[in-house]
Amino acid sequence: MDDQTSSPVAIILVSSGSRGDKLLFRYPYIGPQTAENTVKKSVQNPYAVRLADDQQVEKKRPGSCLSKGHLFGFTDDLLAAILATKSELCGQKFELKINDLRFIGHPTLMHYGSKGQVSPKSEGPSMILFNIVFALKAAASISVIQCYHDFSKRLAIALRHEEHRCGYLSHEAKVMLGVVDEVAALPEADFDSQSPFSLMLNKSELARDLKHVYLSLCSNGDVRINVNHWIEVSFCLPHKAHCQSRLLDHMVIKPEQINKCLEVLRPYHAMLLLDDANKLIAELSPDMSPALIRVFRVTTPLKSLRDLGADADLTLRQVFYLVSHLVYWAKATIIYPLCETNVYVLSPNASLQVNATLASRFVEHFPGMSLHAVMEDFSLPTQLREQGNPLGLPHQQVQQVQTVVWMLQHRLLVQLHTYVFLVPTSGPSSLLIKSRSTDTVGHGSQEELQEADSRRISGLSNFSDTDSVASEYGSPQGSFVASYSGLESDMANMKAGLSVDLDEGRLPTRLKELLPDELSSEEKEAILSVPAARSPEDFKMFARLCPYFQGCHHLEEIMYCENVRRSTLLTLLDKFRSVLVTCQHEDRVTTVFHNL
Amino acid sequence: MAAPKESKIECLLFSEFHPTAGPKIMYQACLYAYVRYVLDFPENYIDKELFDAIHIYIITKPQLQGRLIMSNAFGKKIMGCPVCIDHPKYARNALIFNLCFVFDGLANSRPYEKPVRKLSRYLVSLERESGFLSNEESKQTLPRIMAQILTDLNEQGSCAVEVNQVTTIYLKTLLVINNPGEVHMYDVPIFTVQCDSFHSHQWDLTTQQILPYIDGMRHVARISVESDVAISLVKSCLQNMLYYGIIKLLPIFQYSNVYTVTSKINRLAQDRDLQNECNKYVAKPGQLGFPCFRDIFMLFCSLGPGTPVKDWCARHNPQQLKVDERRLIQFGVLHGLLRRIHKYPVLLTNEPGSQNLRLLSRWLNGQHHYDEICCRTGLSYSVLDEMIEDDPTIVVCWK
Repeated sequence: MDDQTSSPVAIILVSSGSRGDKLLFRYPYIGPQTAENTVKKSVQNPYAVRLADDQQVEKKRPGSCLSKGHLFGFTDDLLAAILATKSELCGQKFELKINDLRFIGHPTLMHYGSKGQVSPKSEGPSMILFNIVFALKAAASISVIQCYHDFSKRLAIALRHEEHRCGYLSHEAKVMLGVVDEVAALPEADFDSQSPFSLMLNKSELARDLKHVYLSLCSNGDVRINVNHWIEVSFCLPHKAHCQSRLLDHMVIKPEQINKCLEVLRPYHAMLLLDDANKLIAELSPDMSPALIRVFRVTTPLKSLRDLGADADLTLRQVFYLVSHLVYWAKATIIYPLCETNVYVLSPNASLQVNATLASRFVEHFPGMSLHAVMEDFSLPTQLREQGNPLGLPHQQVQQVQTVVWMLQHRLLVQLHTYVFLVPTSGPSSLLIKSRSTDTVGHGSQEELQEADSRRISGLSNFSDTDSVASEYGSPQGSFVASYSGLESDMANMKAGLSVDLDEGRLPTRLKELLPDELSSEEKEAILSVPAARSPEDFKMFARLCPYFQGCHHLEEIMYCENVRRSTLLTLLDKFRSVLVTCQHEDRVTTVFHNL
Repeated sequence: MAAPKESKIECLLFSEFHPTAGPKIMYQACLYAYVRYVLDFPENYIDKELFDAIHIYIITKPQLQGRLIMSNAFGKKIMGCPVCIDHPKYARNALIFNLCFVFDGLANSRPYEKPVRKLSRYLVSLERESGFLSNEESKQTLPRIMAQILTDLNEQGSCAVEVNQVTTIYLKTLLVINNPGEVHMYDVPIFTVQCDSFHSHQWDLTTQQILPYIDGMRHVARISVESDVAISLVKSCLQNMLYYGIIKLLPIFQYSNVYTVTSKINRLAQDRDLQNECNKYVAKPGQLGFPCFRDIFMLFCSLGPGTPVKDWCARHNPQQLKVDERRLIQFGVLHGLLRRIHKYPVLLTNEPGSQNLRLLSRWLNGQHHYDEICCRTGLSYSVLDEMIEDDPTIVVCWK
């Protein structure tokens, strides 16, 4: 339903000036029954007999303003009168709802009011204001309305700029009005068959552009035009763009959802382009940022954003901006970098339909394979390294990875992450109970993580991944370790007497202090009674990772933030399993894109 | 059902087409219940400047009369239904007026669409029957009426204003609720409120007939058979109750079902109220004491793809942990902590091998899951499963 309401019903250009309010162009222009009516009405013959009946008929129709998806019962004059607003309304959002129809526009004064500049070509009829209006169904959601207003504003700014540069809009308006007059002058028989707007399409470039805008908005929500071959105006309606290109008709992704996803973007995420990089580069407009091309050239689904930044020679912040941009424009999606320990499962929204376009596209890409067979494989959570035959030839393995990438691009798979909860006693854990102040790492903002990241990059820039893990105990990382490194010497001092204490069953108070303060003493003792807690190394590590065991951080995030190796982490979790509960579900980014 | 707080009416605005002065504001009733008789435009809610800019959407062209028009400008939403009464007795042969509701520019005005239309019809009939608006004396009462409508609608969500001996204006704001999803024959309805907290005798007869069968166990098809009500009627009754949020729908409980935990499980870990509620809900009846939180949480977390409920029961033995597995899963699904994973058989070739499956083939296109196929064909899960397992041309996907 939402998908339908995001398409425009019509696009209308009106102007107001010395010749009164004029409708310059509308598309689509043939409302089936009103076509004749429209043409007749556009003739302003002062001697014509005004038929009172005509209006009576319209007045009595209480229902819809739409008929077969087109505007109904709106003559050109009426549209001009209501959409060419008073000049007081210029420069702000214009919204008008009539029954089940909603007009959205951004009326714009032709000349900047304050400068008081007079039109350079003051001879001839002058235009005071114009308005590009989108007619939508009234049920359109607020975010759709916001997007259309934004687009109308952008078009208006471009048109006004071109008007100031070379009188583009005045010229186009003259052509359009000329066509109307021309058609009006035609003999009766001809002008019934001809709409002035179809002639305009031949003569006016702006008319063609507006038609193009309308058609692209209806098809995939992605518009790019060059106003007067000069100013580029581009626009993306995320509600459509994300679904159409991926053959996901049933899903609507709203800009708010995308923003939510971008809020949880982390340096360890990766960007997955939804199309071939070369194809995307070819589509780019000439004046885009060169950084974007660099990103396109070096990005792979295996590379985290941090590495992407390093390879493309960009700061993390810049990479985040570019990636956010690409995600909004439905050119990319966010994943966790592909690696063999990733666990994937079939998305609940995956379409299983046989003989669908999706299945045949899959066969085009991977001849001899069946999409459904692969989907069957992913019905159970599957680690990338378990999928397929481990003895297979290298090219088979490559193909397996490619199928996974393809399925991720089409949102058929979701990645499952493991989350850890600390529940030491039989009651609910006090570490987990929500209280804002304790959320130290709970919702670490992007900045914090980026900061931690930049520290790491500076500290460990010349280590490869394995080196850095090896040095993990020594390497100070951010505030956490800094506080612990002080404790390290204490620990060493304690070690000697420690074993005696434990044997006697008395708990060393110093050790307890390492655990988060939110835990009750009962819970702390439960943790200390775990056999593995006797090893100071393990215990120290556990205490350090404790804040992550609130179910908000998956293993990969803990590995990233604390620079721990997966095997170390898994061993630790296993040793302390009696006080921990683990579960697997998708992460927050995935939740957004799969509407879970 | 009162309207949400943020969408209060800020002002009621009555404007008229004055025979000599043109479009004009006659009265305004503002939020703070004081009424001003507007002659020389003192500082008012809608000032003359604003009105001049937008009056074409209030006193409109004849083509737009009788339509519900909402304009949004200068941070104000103005919604009205312009009216024109043609009669030779009026100056200019017509009386044109509009009583608008004014809201904040960001308010949700949808609940007021119906009242605005209804109010304009009231005024038309009042004028036609007794000349209410053309008679200066009765017109003087309009500001009082407007003020009362404003306060009552804002405070109670409905109003009944007496205009004269024969007419009372009844208005009510309507919350627009999204349409509930479709009810399928394999869904299981369950009450979300205490069954006795609503008056069952106020429901229609068919609903009353099926009410006793809604117990969180029986599915729609079974309710239809047992209550002797046609399945389409059962579905529409349930849809109605779904709309009012009295019931929710669950999948049929079977030990072959597979559930998975969702990211909302964090709520259970963090929310003490939910924990207490859960504790009471999942406790096995007839047992002393409640199950402990750690066990419950562990039971939730150990559900996942590839673990049917029967395997999960065998592994963790919830009964011994004082947990009723059925209620645990019910609680999880109701609160979105768990999600059902359905099993979809997909036939890849056009001719299935066995005779039996030929009859089933229309259900094997990947759009129907086991629950639905079982319900529609009357096969049991195990029989269907056997038939499908035997056929190599069928793939089975879980999602």
